[in-house]
Amino acid sequence: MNLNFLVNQIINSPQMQRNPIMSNAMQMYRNGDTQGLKTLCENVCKERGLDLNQYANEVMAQFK
Amino acid sequence: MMYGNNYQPTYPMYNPYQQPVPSIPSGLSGKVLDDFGSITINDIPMDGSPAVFIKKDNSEVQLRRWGNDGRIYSVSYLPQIENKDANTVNVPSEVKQSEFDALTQRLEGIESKIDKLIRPTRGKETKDES
Repeated sequence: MNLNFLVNQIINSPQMQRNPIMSNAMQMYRNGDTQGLKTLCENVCKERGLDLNQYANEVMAQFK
Repeated sequence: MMYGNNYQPTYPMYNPYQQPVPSIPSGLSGKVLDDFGSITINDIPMDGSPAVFIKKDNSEVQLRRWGNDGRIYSVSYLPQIENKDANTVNVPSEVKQSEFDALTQRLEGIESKIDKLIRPTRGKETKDES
């Protein structure tokens, strides 16, 4: 299965389109705004009481 | 007697095995609570629509929504109690009392004149004989 196809399916799903955060994230991704993406992730993690670095490490650990 | 009527009324068939179609929830999100500190992340929908939170004592209403930048924005609304005296003109009470007294005197004068017209005094019927 093509990973890019799967990712595109998720990105273009109606649920993601209705989510303004995801829409903004996709916009920044297309524009290459990595700093904005990082800030957005930091804000979301902060609102949820998570540490971005710790959460990123946990996610990356899944792929090892 | 048979009629050549081929009309057969159709009735909707009830299908007990039909699964209910999940409906998209409409309306406002939110809840009534004692303290806004008990609001969790899951109470605020991530589609950008605001969630309305009302204090049980009706002292405050707060709208919270997710922003595009991943932050939660909140707007508080406080009740404005109507002051019944707000519509009255700010006039010193002494002036108002004097106006009231003058108005009362005028009304009493009018009342006495009406009484004289309605009940003429006995023995003093005067007619203008001209």
